[in-house]
Amino acid sequence: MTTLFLDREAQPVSVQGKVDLVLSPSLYWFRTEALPVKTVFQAKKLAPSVFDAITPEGVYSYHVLKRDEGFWLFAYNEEQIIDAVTRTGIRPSDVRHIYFAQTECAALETPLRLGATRILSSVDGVVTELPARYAATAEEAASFFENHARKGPAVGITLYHSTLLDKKQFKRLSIVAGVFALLYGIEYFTARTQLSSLLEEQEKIADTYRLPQTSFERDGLINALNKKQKRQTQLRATAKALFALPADEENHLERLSLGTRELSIAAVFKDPAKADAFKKQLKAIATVTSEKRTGDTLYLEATYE
Amino acid sequence: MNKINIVYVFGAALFLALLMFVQSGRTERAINDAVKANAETARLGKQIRSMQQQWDDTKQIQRRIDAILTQGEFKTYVDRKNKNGRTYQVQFTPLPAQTFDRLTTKLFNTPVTISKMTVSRSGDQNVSLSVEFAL
Repeated sequence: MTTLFLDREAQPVSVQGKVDLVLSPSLYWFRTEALPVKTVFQAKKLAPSVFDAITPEGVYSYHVLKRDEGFWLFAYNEEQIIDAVTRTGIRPSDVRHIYFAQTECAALETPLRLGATRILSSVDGVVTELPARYAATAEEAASFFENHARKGPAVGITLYHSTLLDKKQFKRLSIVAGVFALLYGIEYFTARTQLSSLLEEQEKIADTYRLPQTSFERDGLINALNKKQKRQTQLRATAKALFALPADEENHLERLSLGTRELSIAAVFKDPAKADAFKKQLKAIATVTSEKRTGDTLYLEATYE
Repeated sequence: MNKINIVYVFGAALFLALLMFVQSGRTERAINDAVKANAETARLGKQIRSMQQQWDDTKQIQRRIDAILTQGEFKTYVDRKNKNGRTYQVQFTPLPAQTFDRLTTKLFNTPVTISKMTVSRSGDQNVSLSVEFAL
């Protein structure tokens, strides 16, 4: 894995494959502070005020590490770093990790040579760039980074927006998905419970009214009852209609036998015209099936619906 | 960790969302159907119960018939009562026309199952009546 030192005046380089970058102190601001907080999270909240007076105006991101003597606080401008990476000609997607020189070179004993005019040195534990004349001897930065493993941790700088999710993004997305799945699960469970209680209620209703189990049987029952009611209504209507027919001493009903579907009549009509009128009225409410006349008495049989 | 293409993630999320949407829709429809079915079952139950009480309850029907027959106005005209299985026959002595009218009106306005009714003229002012009820 190639490790490159990246500073503000980065020049185009030619590298193959993935690279790690070590940021020069010229690309970040660093402070060691003993803050009245315990956690990195709390310290990160205080970082903007720590750097407020020393950083030029701009948009900064902050990185905090906890060390024995206090907190290591970093402020950096992502735009500036992205510009420097762009100048090197390295594709952002080829950059694997980015580190601060502070985390990699704090324990440096021999300064590192950065080109012809500058060196990287650790002064009282703070890594800084100095003119080359301040060091009599210096080690080549490239060979130092090649021979020493990265101490890290890496800085989370987004050099490009990828369609690939990293572990952190995936974790966040998983949490969101998990919350949705949980909410859906609760809703689904509630709905299923409601449905099963509704189905139970349906059985209870059927039991309360002693309804048959199948809709076929229920339809049969209601049809039979409707039919019975209809026949009773018809019988009453037919009887009322027959009782209401005009009658007098010489023309009247002698006998009426009324069933639920059929009727038979014996009626005396001395006036044939009144007998015809009676038959006509009877035909309006029933179907005459037989007719016989003996003297003045008319015998009729009929059916009705 | 290998990186995952966000397109796949969104594709899977979309698929799952669609699946949830379809499943939720099904469950909601099933709930609505069950609510409607419950209302319909209750309506049908009430209708059947009411009709059964009117036309299919033997004890109730006989009680209604007896209530009419024991009314002061009609009581004296009851000649014969005969219950045979599911039929109940009542023969009245000749009734005055007005009493006949009131009795038939009463019978027709009461939910009793009349299976046969025979009316015959008995003299100038009287009417004979025989009614067969189905129990």
